[in-house]
Amino acid sequence: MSLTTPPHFDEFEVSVFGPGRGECILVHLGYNEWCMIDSCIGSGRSVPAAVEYLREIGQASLQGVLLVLATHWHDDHIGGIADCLREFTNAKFACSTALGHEQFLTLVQLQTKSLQGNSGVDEFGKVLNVLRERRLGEINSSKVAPIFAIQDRPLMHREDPGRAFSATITALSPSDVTVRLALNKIAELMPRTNQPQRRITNRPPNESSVVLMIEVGDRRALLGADLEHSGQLGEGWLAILNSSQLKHRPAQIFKVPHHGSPNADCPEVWEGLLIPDPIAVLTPFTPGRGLPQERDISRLKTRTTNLLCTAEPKVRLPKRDDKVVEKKLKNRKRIAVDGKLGHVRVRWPVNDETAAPSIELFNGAYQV
Amino acid sequence: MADYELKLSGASVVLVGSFNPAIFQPEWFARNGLLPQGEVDSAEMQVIHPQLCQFETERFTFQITTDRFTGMTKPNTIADPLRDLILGTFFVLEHTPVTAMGMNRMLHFAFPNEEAWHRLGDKLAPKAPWKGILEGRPGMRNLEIITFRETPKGSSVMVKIQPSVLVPLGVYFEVNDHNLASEGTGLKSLMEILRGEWESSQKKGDEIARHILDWAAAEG
Amino acid sequence: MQDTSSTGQLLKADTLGESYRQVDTSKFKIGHELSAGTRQSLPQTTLPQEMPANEREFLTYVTRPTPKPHRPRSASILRPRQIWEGTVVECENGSFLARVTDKTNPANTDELVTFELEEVSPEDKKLVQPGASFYWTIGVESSPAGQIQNIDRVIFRRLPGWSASSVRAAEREAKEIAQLLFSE
Repeated sequence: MSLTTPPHFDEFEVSVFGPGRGECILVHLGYNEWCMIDSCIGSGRSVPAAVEYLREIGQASLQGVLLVLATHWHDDHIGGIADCLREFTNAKFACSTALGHEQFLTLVQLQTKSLQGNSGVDEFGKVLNVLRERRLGEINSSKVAPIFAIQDRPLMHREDPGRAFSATITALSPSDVTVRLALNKIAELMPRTNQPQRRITNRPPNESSVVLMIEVGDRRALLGADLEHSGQLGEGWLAILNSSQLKHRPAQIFKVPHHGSPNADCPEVWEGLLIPDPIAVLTPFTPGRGLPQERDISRLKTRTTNLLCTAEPKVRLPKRDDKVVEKKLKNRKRIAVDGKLGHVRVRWPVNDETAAPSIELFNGAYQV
Repeated sequence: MADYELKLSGASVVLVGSFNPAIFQPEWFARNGLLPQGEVDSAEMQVIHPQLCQFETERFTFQITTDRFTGMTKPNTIADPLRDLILGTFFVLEHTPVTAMGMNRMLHFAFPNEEAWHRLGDKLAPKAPWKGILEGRPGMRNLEIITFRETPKGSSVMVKIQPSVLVPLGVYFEVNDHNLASEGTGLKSLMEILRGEWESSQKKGDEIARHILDWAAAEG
Repeated sequence: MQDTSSTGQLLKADTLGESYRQVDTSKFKIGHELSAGTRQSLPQTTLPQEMPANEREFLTYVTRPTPKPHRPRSASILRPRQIWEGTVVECENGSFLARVTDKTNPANTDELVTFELEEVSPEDKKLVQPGASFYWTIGVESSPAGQIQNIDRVIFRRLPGWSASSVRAAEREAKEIAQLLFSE
């Protein structure tokens, strides 16, 4: 099947893109209705990956995007999200409830005035501008207001008479405890008076990103975002496991959280929320030590035989023709950050009990 | 292969408005965290007067009058720190009335020989019409070309080309990217332009100069 | 009459900052010479109060260039060959990790690079914090004496701090946005 073939109306599709600058997941809910979780832009490109892909499979798909969700504000997860929201004119915006607090909005406002740019908080500022423009042209504020994700809140439910199957998107996190932790962290990021302006950088750990369960008919995908496992009750993955709702409806597709890092690994998730041997997709993350490491891959391979990765974790450093420059760089410790924007696409007919999912790998994505 | 070589480059920002030269002493920049104390301590104060302030630091040259603020890089530094310095200055002095801003790129190129040097002048300003009517050897002294952009309103690009006085067998290009302040927002709109378009403006200046040099070098 | 609306170089820009040194100072007296030949730092200079307006104007604005080329007095000349803009990601003992973006060839991927704190000037060291950004330049520098050396230089960006009033203004705007977008 070619990349540009759109999904059939009754096909569940989960497309995972990454790394460009970050990761992006597009989910087809059936009947040309889509949701986008996070956003990224391919290295050297200016159009977000989701917009490029949806244009390739047909312009009508852009109008079918009904929800744009930012799992958290880190810049590797929301690159270009404001441009996407502008293109997807029928989409509502959703994010963690912590990001609707005035303290975070104050941080966003400061950052938009800052002489430093290019952080995830900046991108949030652009999203607010898009929402503000929409609000000024719309009498009904509820049509524009963001949806705030908190544990066990349904974010979207599609069950029109015209649909043969329903589609539901449920937030499994953040919990109340992690919202408080997130707000504490936001308070730490607030600049002090007279402190020189600095870029707001991603600060681990990430316990408060939005995890989703997407159900289309009997097909389910658990999207783990960057949620880490602190081991504390009420936080992270333990908070999700303690919720009783999902254990009877395990997911068949899993977006591995936080690039396969050990900090995000929770064995109980594989046992309690996923079918045995699920399709697991992960995106690498090159900065720092690089994720996933070899031992992470080994660990993940004990959990599933269907482990897919959007791109190789190691990226080649650019070569420069200038000998003076190359000589100076020779003794430097350097790692290239962004590689090719790989794409894993899983499609699965919803109405056919006997049909198996099809897995396609594009642009460097591979089966581990 | 290009028959010219970039020898010197620089950048400047010129603001037209209403300024108080007495404020802009080097120590003010250090106090506001905009220049390192060491650079300020070694600054060379040339003129200090209620209507004119002029000084040099290791990396920059400033001249401020009551209606014009000019900051310029020296050839020992890259251009972007100048942008930061101007943005920072007018972040602090956010209520300064400013009506226009120029982002300027200055470049000196050298030619390998007189023939190549003359070729540029001959193509830009042919000598033929002047022979016979002017004594001696008429030559191009200065050429200015201006174009107005559709948006933003009132903005323009002016290119000045002169023989270089710094580089033997050289040519000097100055590209002035001129912008007017928006009504009501004034300084803020210009600082947004400086923040968002400085890099592309500087790059454009280089492209314009090289385009003309390549054109002159081509046969015909 | 000088067009004061123009924003091009009114200083004689083709001397890269030396124009005031080429001002024809014979037309006025200001107590100290501003001639190109002066090598020492000038003490603070003030204009005489009774200086005629046209002489003040002459001092301010451009004059005809002198025919003799000369080097700028104090500055060495840098020819950058590669420029990055970097942001500090984390600081460890004696070094820091930064993400750098290639400004010379924007199509190149970003890189994570380790720098030693020793590479940073003493005054810039206090600026080395997560989120701080800097320019990293590799190039060739020629001194006024004609000596040439390859340079590899990190200069931190100096940006002003937030005033209490800007924080208060941001808080007000945040309230307005919340009101506009989140209330029924």
